[in-house]
Amino acid sequence: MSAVGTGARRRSQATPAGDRRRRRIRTLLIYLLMAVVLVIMLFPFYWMILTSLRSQVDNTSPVPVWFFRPTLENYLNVIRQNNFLAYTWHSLIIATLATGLGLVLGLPAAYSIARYKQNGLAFAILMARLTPYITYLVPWYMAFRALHLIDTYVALTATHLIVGMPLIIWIMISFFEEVPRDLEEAAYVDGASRFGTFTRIVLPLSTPGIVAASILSFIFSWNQFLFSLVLSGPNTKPVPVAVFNFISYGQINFGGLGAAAVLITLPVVLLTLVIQRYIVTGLTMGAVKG
Amino acid sequence: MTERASRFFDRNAQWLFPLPAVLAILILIVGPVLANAYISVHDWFIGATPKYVGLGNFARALSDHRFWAGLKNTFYFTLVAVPVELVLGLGIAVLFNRDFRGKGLVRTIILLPMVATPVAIALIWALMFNPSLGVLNYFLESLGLPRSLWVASAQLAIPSLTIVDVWEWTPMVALILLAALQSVPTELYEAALIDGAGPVQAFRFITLPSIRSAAVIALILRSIDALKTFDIIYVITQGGPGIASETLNVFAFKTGFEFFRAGYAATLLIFLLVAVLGVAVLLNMTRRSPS
Amino acid sequence: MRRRILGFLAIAALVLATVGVASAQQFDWKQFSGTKIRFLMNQHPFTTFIQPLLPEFEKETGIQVTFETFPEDQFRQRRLLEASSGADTLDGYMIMPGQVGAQYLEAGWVRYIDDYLNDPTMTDPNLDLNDFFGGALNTFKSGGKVFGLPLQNETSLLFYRKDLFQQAGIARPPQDMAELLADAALLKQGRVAGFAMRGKAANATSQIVNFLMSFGGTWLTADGKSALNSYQSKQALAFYADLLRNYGPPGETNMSWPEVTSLYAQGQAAMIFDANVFRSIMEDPKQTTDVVRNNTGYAPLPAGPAGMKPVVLVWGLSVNHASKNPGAAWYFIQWALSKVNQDKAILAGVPAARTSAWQNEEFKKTAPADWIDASQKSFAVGDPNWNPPVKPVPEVRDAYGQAIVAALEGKPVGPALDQAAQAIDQILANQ
Repeated sequence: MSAVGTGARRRSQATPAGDRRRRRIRTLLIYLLMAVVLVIMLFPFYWMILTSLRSQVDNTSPVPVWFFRPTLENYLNVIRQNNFLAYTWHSLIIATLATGLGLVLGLPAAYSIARYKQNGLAFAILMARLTPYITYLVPWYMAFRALHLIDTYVALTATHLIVGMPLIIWIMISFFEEVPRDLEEAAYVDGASRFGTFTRIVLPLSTPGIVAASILSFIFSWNQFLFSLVLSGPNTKPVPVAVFNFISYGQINFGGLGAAAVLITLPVVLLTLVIQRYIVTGLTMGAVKG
Repeated sequence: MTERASRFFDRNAQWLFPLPAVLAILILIVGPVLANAYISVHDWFIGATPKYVGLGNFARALSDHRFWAGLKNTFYFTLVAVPVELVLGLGIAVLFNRDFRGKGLVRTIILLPMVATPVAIALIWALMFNPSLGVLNYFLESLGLPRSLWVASAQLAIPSLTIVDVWEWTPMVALILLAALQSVPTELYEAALIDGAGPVQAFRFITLPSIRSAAVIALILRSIDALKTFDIIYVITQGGPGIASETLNVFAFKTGFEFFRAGYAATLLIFLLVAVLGVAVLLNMTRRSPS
Repeated sequence: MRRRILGFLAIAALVLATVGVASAQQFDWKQFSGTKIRFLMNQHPFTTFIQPLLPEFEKETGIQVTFETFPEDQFRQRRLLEASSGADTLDGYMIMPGQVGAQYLEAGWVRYIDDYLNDPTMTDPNLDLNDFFGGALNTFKSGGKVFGLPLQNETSLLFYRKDLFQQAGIARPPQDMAELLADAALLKQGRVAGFAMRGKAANATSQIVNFLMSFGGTWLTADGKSALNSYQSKQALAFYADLLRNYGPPGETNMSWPEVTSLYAQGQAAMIFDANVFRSIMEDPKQTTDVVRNNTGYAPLPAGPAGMKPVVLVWGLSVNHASKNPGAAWYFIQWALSKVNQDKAILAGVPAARTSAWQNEEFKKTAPADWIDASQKSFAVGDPNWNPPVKPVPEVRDAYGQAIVAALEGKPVGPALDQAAQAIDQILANQ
């Protein structure tokens, strides 16, 4: 198993064998560094999982309680008392619809910006990300209430679109810029329409980017708190708003919170794990190089 | 698609492609922003009748020490968090851009901090920061270091919050840069090798220019979001102690939803929008300049 | 024949009329059967207690109640949005008149219920308004009209560790502020704080106001200006800062109720001063260490130079002005706050707003005697105006909170309060 980078590997074929020791130390250092990064990234999650398995009294202990009798009570409470599965289902629907719509609207826009160098338009779309989300709350609430759309998937999908679509557009612009123009021109000369060229040539070549952009859009929509707080209701309440129910009048129920946090994160982690391979394959197939 | 429609589409592709997205933005963004501008020229205590005050709220902001403190805190937070995220993100992207066993798993782990729901994560961090009961002080003490007040200290509140932001968002920067690194054609490195370039030169003359546009995008996205950071600050400190970590966004939220001054809140949000816009325009200029 | 028919009709009419009158004069729980109503609730022990009982209400009345529950901050924001936009799908909500009463009344967001109280078909004959603590009920009156009913009477108490008191040779809980300071000094040991209390800006004001009043201070002067720059107010804050800076835990300026209660529950503070409802935490083995659980005593607020002047926080339920089903909402409120349910509430740890609940034998047996005694002493003299009676309450609390933080950070108390008073005057000028 080799741990050297692309550039370094090519070079290694030409290096004399005496450098092997130095390379081994370098490899070791790289692994060590990777381990440090991973430990730091993971610690809060580790703490979150511990929290979810401990009782409140252990969770607030000034000397960390590392060994304890794990309890599943927090999980059972979360699932039973808080109707958590229903909230997960709401979140799933909202994030999926918002990402799907974000792709349908965002991909052609990104393509157009990349192809026709519409930098002004790119900037206008960036506006969506520039505006503080709080700005929207009062006007949206008034408008959606007038339309009787509070606590509907329409309102939540539409507003979550603002979270994902600009991101999709911005990520895809650079991916579309990478698609060789000759390929498109060739297809165009062969009689394909612009739209056909886009769907049959450009999109398949950009699959890795689309997957990456979709994941991000999905995740941010999944985690969106502020819009859901204002616009959702019993029929559409998503998980992040439900998590807040663990802060009660007397105390913060850290165990319940940890359990809820684990349950929220789990589906997204699994999804990322599965699709991660897809991204890697997509890139290594060399489709971009044509 | 019929022949004519198809030809019409081809001729107008340039504006038909982005049309749906533009419409969505007009309805969902431009509308509320205009409504917000309308509210900002009124003195509106929620529950009472709004009174037109012209630019009164804007004048009030300029003489409000809390507005200036909020503006300062907003930029302080961003200027600490974003550069650290870029440097660490690049480091992590380069570090992990190689073949090794369990690559998929490791990359998933890197993604975790940004995947996790911010409100839940922020509460876990708040628990870890607690000066008397938190695990971070336990670690400091185990290492023989003095205990810290973390977010409970006026001086350390913002630096502590940036730790959370860096932890949460460095992965996104790393992800964007990693994708860019992987799209660098290996032929380039081979050509460089033939020309006798070393790894440092290869990094400088091939890697960096190839990921430059991705890096600028990451910089723009992170700066914009950092200036608007809300969740973690609101959950962990609510802008405290006092107003030591109160950013413009948090101040505007309090003004509108806790103090019920909708007009003044709308004004503060316009100032924030202008600040974000200014930063975005500046950064976008670097994007357009020739590479 | 004709006469007989007429006679029959007359009798029938008479019977029908009597029945009609009888039904019109009788209170009928089933009157709104089939109605669906929605209440906005704070994540509060009362909500947790009443939620599982909702099916009972539905069985009894045929009214279906949905709760939408949020933690306090989010609850207030959501309630503000719904009330101000006139959402007719919201039928009622929890409310603290001492906090938003002035704003909600002026905006007309709460519905007065006098018409119901005067209508025998609308009000349960067993409601008995006189059973509610007078002070608590008074917070739900404005200009002699009633806009809701109280569900709990909350006051703040001193929670103290009997074992640590004994070890330090202290015979009784502090009776006055001087004793409090001296005891805190004796009790501070290593990392264990002698005394802890909220210090997180606006969140701290609901507690420190007890000190303010006991030192003889007030929120406002007689002519409605801020009185926080008074000598008494400065003395109170100086005392508080002195107490906490010397004998308090680290990070006071970031402490609100969760931090204060956790600290005490973990044995990291010998005394705290906070809401009496938190007794339920201190009795729960899942939340509190055994040594704390077995050694906690309760005492009323120590007296200041002006005496013992605690405040009382009252939560209650109101009908939303825009509700399409105000009658059904009122039915729910009466049921939720009935004698039977208030008895159950106090057993579940909610300091009920009905005096009869406090006489409940089972409650007297299970609750610590010193807690009951200290709570009732506070209710007896408690002032429900824990905030100034103005609309921009949160803004005023925030201004005071900034001075509290400054004092805890060791900045001079006088100028900090002068600044707060000036800010409050400005806030009040453009309310």
